[in-house]
Amino acid sequence: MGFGAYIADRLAPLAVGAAALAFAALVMTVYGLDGAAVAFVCGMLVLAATLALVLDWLHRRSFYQRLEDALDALDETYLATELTERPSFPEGQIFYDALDRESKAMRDRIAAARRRSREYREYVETWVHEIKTPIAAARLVARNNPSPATESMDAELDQIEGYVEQALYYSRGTSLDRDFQIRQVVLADVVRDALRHKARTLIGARVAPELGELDLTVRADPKWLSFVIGQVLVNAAKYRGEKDGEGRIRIWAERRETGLDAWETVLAVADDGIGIPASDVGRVFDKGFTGENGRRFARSTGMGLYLVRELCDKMGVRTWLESEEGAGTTVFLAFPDSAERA
Amino acid sequence: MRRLLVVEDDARLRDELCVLLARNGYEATALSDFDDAAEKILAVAPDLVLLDLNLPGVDGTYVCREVRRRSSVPIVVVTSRDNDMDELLTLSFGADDFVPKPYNDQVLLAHVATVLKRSYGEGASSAELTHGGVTLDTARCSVSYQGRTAELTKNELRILALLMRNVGAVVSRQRIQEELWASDEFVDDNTLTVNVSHLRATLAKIGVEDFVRTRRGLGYLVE
Repeated sequence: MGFGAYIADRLAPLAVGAAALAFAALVMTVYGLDGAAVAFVCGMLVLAATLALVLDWLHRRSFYQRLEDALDALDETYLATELTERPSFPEGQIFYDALDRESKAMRDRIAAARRRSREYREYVETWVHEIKTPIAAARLVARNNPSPATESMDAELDQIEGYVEQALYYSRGTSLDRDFQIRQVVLADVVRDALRHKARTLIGARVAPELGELDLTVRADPKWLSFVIGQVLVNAAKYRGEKDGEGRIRIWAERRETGLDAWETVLAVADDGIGIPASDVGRVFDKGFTGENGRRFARSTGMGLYLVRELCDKMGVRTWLESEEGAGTTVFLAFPDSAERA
Repeated sequence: MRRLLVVEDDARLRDELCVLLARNGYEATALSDFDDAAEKILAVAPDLVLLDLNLPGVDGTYVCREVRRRSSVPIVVVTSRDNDMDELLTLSFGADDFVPKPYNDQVLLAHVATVLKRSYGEGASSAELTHGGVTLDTARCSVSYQGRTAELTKNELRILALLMRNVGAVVSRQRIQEELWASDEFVDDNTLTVNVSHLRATLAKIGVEDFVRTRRGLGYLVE
């Protein structure tokens, strides 16, 4: 609040005061006081009034300034009153109390929502863990009694498992809690883990990997990263197209300089599938976006790449993809050297 | 033959695990009552324990610790809880390995074989497989027939072992690929064909002909 704005707000009382002062000066002149005395008295009064105004302005300003500073400094702006003292002037107090009550109600709501979200997440985690036992049992039944029927059931179980996994990572990835663990991981290990994990899907779709240089270390949560790579691999299998022979997934990593002394490690997963129409490329990471391919070639939930981006964002990993229709798609994950943010 | 004990509360999963293990050359028994589980495990004195952590009434980690306190039997923990904390805790309680559910059967078998090998030394994990006069030594990675022996590559060994464990049944190409992928050999279809024809050539060198048959469109078979 500038001094100008403060004065503008008090224009009416000031005008009244000025009129009163002018009238008093007139009366004094009429009663025969000499001009110098009238000017002196008026000057004193104006000076006193100005001084009072400035003091009052400074006093108020310090409260508003502190409130603004608190709002700027906080990510959770609803906590601003916690950082500001209750002012000593009545309007400020009314304002402060209203704000405080409002933010308290807000904080309670947020705490309740957080608790509910955590409970829901715990339920999902438990449910996912419970469902794994029957899936494991059904899978072994299929394996122990090999026949065309059980083999196709096995393939369906794969899909079930894939969706269950997505649900788990959706609840983890969108959770307000930050419970992943970033540490040093060797890309080769995580890529192999993801390949083993998705072996059946890839083999079933007749897609095989070609591994390039992968002996690079990055900072990530190994489980999350394995899930992310798995989503990309499944897409490569889903959208491999109708061509004869085997599909290829080339996986490699390289170091890149991004600026002065700033380096990142880029992991690339390139398939030779049907590619993505140029009009869709920009939106494939959006939640629920299925696009032309999703409708035409495979049942798509629009969750895979959304989760890829969501989880990578949380880990401070940059994601993007390049694609050419009919030639294939390459998904890139860039790990900055010091992934401090997240 | 190595004796494995399955400690798992889901009856269906338990039975199927036993079938899977028996089919892969292990003698498998199971616990179905978990009061005093640790006591019972020690009484059976198996060569390896497959332990589920979520048991009714008892904490799996407690069982694990109890067994470890009194025996050095290898323990492979199988669980649907897959967070890092559990993994770390279990290993600190003396388990030898940790396989998250729902596991791929090949992956589970690979873990079991690795732990057995680590605990009992090279060759201990694998019984020799013999069929029709052909003996496969999985530890030495060699095959012999009427006194003649030939070395096999790792992939050839895995393929032949899988076929000899499923004598009389057609094993699909996909199944064989899965077995190879489970041990980080991400072979494609063509490589598999090449591996199989090398395997046949190796077998022919020691005088074994027509051992690995092809069922067109289905897979391979040892009869």
